[in-house]
Amino acid sequence: MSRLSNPGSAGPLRAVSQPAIPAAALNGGPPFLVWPVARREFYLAINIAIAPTLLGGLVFFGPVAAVNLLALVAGMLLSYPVLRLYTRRGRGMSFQHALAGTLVAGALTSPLYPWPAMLIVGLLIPLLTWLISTPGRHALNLALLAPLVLLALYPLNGQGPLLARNRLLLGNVHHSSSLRSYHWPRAGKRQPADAVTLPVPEQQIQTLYKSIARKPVTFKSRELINQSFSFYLPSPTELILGAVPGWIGTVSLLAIILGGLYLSYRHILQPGSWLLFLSAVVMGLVFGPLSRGMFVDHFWQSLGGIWYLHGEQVIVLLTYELCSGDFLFASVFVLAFPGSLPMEPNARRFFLLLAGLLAALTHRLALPVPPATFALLVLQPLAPVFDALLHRRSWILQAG
Amino acid sequence: MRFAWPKFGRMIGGLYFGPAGWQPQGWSDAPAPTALPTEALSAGNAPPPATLPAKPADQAPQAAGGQAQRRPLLAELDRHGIVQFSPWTPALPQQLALLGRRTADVMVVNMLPHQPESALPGFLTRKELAPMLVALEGLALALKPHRVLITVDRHDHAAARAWAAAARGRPWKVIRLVNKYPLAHPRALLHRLGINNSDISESPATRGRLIIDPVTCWAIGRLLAGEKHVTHRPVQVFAQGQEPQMLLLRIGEPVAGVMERFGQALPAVECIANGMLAGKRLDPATDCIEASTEMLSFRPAPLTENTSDCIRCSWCVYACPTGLNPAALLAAAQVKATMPVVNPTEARGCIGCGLCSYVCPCRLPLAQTIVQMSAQSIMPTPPRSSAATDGGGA
Repeated sequence: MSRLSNPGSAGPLRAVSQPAIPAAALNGGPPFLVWPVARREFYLAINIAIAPTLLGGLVFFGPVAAVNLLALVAGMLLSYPVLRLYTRRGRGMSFQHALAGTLVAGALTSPLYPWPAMLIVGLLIPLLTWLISTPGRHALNLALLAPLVLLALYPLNGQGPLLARNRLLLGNVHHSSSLRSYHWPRAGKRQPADAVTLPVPEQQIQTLYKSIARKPVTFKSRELINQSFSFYLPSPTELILGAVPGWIGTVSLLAIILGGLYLSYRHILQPGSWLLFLSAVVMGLVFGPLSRGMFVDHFWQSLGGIWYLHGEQVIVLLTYELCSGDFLFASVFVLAFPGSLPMEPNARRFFLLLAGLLAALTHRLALPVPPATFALLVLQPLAPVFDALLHRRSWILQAG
Repeated sequence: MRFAWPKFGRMIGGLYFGPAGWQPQGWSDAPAPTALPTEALSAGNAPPPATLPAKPADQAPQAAGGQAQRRPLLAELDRHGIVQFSPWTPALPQQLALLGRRTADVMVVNMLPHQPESALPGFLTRKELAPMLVALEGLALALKPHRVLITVDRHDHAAARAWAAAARGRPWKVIRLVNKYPLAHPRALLHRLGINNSDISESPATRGRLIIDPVTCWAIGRLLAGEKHVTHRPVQVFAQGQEPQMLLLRIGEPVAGVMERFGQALPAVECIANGMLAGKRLDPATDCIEASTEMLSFRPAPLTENTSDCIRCSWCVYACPTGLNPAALLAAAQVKATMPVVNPTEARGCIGCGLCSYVCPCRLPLAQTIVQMSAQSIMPTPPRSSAATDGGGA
C-alpha cells in the first residue's frame, strides 16, 4: 500500500490501481485493467529465480561464499539509498533492479575473492548504473560488468575455484574419505587457507582439447579422453546437483534449470530465446576452434572435425562444456534481464545467434571472463542498432 | 508479496482468454421495446419471413449484386435506426455506402466476442437465432455476396453447433476460431481469414468486404419482424458483488439511471463501457447508453499507481497483435532518443486493443498515445462520389 500511496517521481501520467481487484488499472484512458506484474514484481521474479542458484553455491562453498555475497549486498545497500534519495537521476532507480543486478554479479564471482573487494563491487554496481544510464533508463546492465572486470584482474590461471573445507551442510572435506579422489586432493596439495583448489571442468576440457587437437588421429587422444572421464571430470549427477567447482551461481545445474522454469512461467524468459542462444553456442563449440593455438594455426581443426574418431565421447565432452561454466547461467539470468536483448523479433534472433557464436569463441579462446555473460554484455549496447536495422513492418500496414 | 500468479490459459503474446465463464439465462430487468412482438420471440417462434421493400418495377433484378434492392434497403436501414452497434465495426449503412454499386466480395458475420468476458454473441445465438437468420437471408438476397462467412467462437460449442446447423442448406460457411483477443476487430479478423489485403487508411468495404456484428444482425432481424424502430440494444452489465446480467437497455438512457438500478453509489463507483481493455470511462452525469454500448462495468473508484520509464522488457512487442513496436512508437511520440525512432506513421497500424498497456510492467500509456498518433496519421477515406450521390449506393 505504501508503494501505491507514494506519488513517486515518475512521468507525467499517473496510473490507477484497485487493490480490491487483483490487477491494477490505468487512468486517463483504456485499458482499465493491467497485468498484475509491475516493474517491481518483474525484477522480484528474477531475484526469486536466482535464489536457488546462490543457495546451491552457498551449500557447496560454505561460509566463504556466504561472507562474499553478504559483503556484495552490503555494498549495494550502502550506495543505493544514497543515490535513490539524494540525487535526481537516482529517483527512477528500482531497489529490485539494483538487487537483481547485484545477485547476478555475485553469482558470477568466485569465493577466491577477498570480501573487501566484494564490498567495493557492491558499492560500484548501483553507482555505475546511476552514472552511465540516463535518468530512468537503466537498460545498460553495468551491474554485470563489474564481476567481469574483477575476474580480469584476478585471473584464475588454472588454480580453480575454492573448495571449502567446512562446507555449509556437507561437512568437512577431511572426513569424506568415500568421495571420488579427484575432488579431494590430499595433504600435499592443501592450501594455507581453509580450502583446497581444483580446476573447474571446462578448464579440464580445454587442457584435454589442447592435447588431443595436436594429434587427433592417434589412439592417444582416446586414452586422454578416457583418463579425463575417470579422474578429472565429475559425474553427471554431481554436475546437476551442484557438487562441482565453479563460480558461486553456476555450480548447480538443477538450480539454474529451476530458475529458468520459473522465469519462463512468469513470461520473463522466452524459451525460444533461450533455445536459440544455446543452439548458437553449441554450433560455435562444435565448429569453432578447439583452443587458442588451434585458432591461430589450424583454424578448421574443430570438435566437429574429430567427430569421426570419438563420436559418443565428443557428445559427452560437449555436454560437459555446455553445462559447466556460465553458458546455462547466462542463457537464463542474463537473457531474462530486461534490456539485454533487442525488442524486434528478427533483431532478437540475429542478436542471439551472434551472441551464442561469440560466447563459444570467447570460451575457446580461454579469456579470463565468463564467456556467455561477456558476449551478451558486449553486444548489449548494440541492441538498439539491431532493432533499427531489422525493424519489422506491421502486417496491417501492408497495402494491397 | 503483491504479485498475482497468472491463471492457466492466460498468456502474454498469443493471448487466449477462453470462453466467457458465465451463461446469462435471459433478458433481465429489461423493459419491452416498443412494438416488439415479444410473444413470438420469447416462444422461440420464427418471425415472419423477411419483408424487404419491393423492388421498383422498372428495375429488373441484376445478377451482379441485387443492386435494385440496395437503395431501398439502405434507406430502410437508415430510417429504422440501424447504426453502429459495435465500437470497432462500422455501421452497416456506412459500409454499404462505401460498397457502392459493386458486388460484395465477402460478407463476414462476426460472432466472436468483442471482449474476453463477453457472452453477448453466444447469448444472441441461443435466444435470437431465428431473427438473425432472417436478417442474414435478407442481406444476402440484397447484396448477393460471393461468399458469406460466419465466424464463431470455437469454444462456445452451443453457439458453434447452432450456427453450423443454421448454415446447412445455405451457401454459408461457418468458421470456428479461437477467441483470441482482439480477433473480433475487423482488421485482425480479415487478416486471420486471409482476406485482408487492403490499405489501412480505407475501410474494407471499399474492397467489397463487409463485416456485420451480431447486434446489427439481431437488430435487422427485429426490424424485419415488424419493429418500427430499433430503440433498445442488449448490454452486458458487470458489477462487483453481483452476477453479470444481460439487459435490454434503451438507447439514450442515462447511465446514472442504470447505475441506480444496480445500487451503485455515485461518485464512489465508476462506469466503464465496452470492456476494460479497449473501452472508455463514462460520466454518469452526462453520458447515456449509445447504440455501440456493448458492456458496462461498475467498479469502485481505483487508487493511483506510478508509471516508470521503459525497461525494454519487450512484453508490448509480444502482445501487439498487429506486429507493432509500441515502446518504439511511444519513444517516437515523446521524442526521446532512448531507442531507434520508428516512423510515427506506423501508428496507423494500431487497432486500439489496449494489449500493450495491459501488459506493460511500467504502466506506460502506450495504447492511448499510439491511438492518438494513429488518429493524427490516418486520413479518412471519403465515400466514393458515385455512391455518395446515388442516394446511398445502389
